[in-house]
Amino acid sequence: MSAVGRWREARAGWVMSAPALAAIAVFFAIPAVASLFLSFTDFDIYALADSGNLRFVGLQNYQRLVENPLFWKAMGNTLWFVAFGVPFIVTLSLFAAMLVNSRWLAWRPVWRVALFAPYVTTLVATAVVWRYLLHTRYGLVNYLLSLFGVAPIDWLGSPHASLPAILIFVGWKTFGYNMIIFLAALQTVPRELEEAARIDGAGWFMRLRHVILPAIAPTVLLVSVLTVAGMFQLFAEPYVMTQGGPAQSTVTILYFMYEEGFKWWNLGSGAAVAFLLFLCILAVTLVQLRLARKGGAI
Amino acid sequence: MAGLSIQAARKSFGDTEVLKGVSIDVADGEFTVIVGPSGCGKSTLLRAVAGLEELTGGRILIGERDVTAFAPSARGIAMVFQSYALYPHLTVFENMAFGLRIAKADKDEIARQVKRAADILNIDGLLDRKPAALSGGQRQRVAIGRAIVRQPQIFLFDEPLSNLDADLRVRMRYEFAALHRTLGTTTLYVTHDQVEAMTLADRIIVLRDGQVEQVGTPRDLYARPANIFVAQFLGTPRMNVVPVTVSGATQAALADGRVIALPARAAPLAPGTRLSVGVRPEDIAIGAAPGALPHRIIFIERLGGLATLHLQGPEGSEPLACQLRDDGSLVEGDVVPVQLPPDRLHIFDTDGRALYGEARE
Repeated sequence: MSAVGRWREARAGWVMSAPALAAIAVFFAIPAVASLFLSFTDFDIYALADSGNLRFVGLQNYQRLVENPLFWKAMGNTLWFVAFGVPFIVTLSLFAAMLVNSRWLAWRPVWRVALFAPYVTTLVATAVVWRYLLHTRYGLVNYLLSLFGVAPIDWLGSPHASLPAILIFVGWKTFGYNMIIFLAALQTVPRELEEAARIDGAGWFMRLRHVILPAIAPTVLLVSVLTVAGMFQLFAEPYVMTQGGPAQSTVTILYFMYEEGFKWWNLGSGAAVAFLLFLCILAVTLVQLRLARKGGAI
Repeated sequence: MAGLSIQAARKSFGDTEVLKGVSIDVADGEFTVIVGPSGCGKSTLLRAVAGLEELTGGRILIGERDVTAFAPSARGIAMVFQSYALYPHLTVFENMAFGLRIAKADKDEIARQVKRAADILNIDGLLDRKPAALSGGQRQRVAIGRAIVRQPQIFLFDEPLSNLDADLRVRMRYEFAALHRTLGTTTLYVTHDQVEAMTLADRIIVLRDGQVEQVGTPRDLYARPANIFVAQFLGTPRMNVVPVTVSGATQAALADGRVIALPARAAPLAPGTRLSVGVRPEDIAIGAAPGALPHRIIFIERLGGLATLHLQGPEGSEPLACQLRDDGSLVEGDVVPVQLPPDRLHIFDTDGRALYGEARE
């Protein structure tokens, strides 16, 4: 091909990918770079009014964050959600998917819709319902626990119970989405493999371990990565349920960022939080990918 | 080892009855092939023996034991699937050892059994590989190896050759026969391929619409098919069947009015009786003789040594296929005298049942 021909082909390629690249630039690359830049400034409500008030402050925002106990508290809470929430939600979703995929279950379409429904309901409305369910004296949750002799728990009022309470709500709200992804994966598991395992005498757990999990490993990875990102970015649930309370026990990183940026208008500091959060998610995802590669999932 | 007895097996999926009371006995050590068109229920029957499908009615006995309610792993069977169904994340060794490991067998015993099976199948060089690194034929062997390691009383094969190319299929067919000779295990083998059935089986069971059409040795079924379905299902090209009307003690008229001779054993038949006459393509002879019927060659399939002629008689007559050694002398468009040797003819009544001039079931 001549030089002109090659140039034309390259130009055609760029022209055709331009719309997608533009969208990525406008909605992702530019904001990301801009917020990294903002995190080195004291961008606040005054700078918003007049950019002449913007000052470059170097790493001062980061230094103040590191010295702020609430930042560490928020980080701790978020890591708690990642450590307990990811296994909880992934397991819950997988079992729900296996349930609605099993051949012996009657009314399977109905079950699928019912279990998926929480994901598409309005967060604020369901939060109101869950506040009732979790009510210390009149809530259904404490009533059910009382049947097993468990003393009433002040779910949203005690700093020890508030994180699990939020996690239960988050799990209920999001597992349906992961369930659908798992369901799609489960339906690709060859039936003959499971049957071969049954003839070999493998029980339910051995079939899960040796047939189902290896077959859906890439999907488990995908769902875990998505859930990790979701847990790191947990905001709406604590915001509507507890406003970070009681005693700041449910302040997450994103909630902390929201307060920094939009309550106190320290936008530069908020941008610094966002950038640190990004680094956290990136690091954990890279670890997951490495583990997955070692385990042969991808 | 043990024999297998299926007694009045019924299976329905919803309103669809797939097995309509199938009874089969397989003797100890026998290689039995179940053959039939797709949808005849042969795979369902095999899966019922394996315990993967629950019967709606009937019983299954392996040896003296009624295993109808047993779990698949407790029946003493091993199954080889069409897709091989190897565990993709396990090595060949681990695949073959899987069942014994679950049964918590002794490590040395497992190694010994896997080694024995690998030796029989010539796959000892592959034991460390994962299934993805194997060819289709090798996967097939590993799947058989996994079955051998279980030391089953009965081998079940579900269309094991249909994922292989033609060449390999012929070789594996030979190896299946050799394997059965070595191990002598009772085998139930399902296929839709009549060539596999003819070449492998001690006994063939022809299944159609969930019912047994005929049971017998390959030779028996080929020479004395019980009905038109079996007659046409076995043998390629398939048997010619033409309608005739009896016109004399041992003669009948074709649809176009020409008369052919019937075998003497078919007598006595009342004139005017409607029948079907079947003749295998290789039994038709070409050449001048008394009673030969002129046909035009409309198409020749040359297969090298053999050729199949597609013949057309006068207006109103049925086309015939004829197979013979190909010397290259015949060309399309020729009109040739066609002989239908009376002693090679099969006679069927209007329901398609064979008449052999003697009482048959």
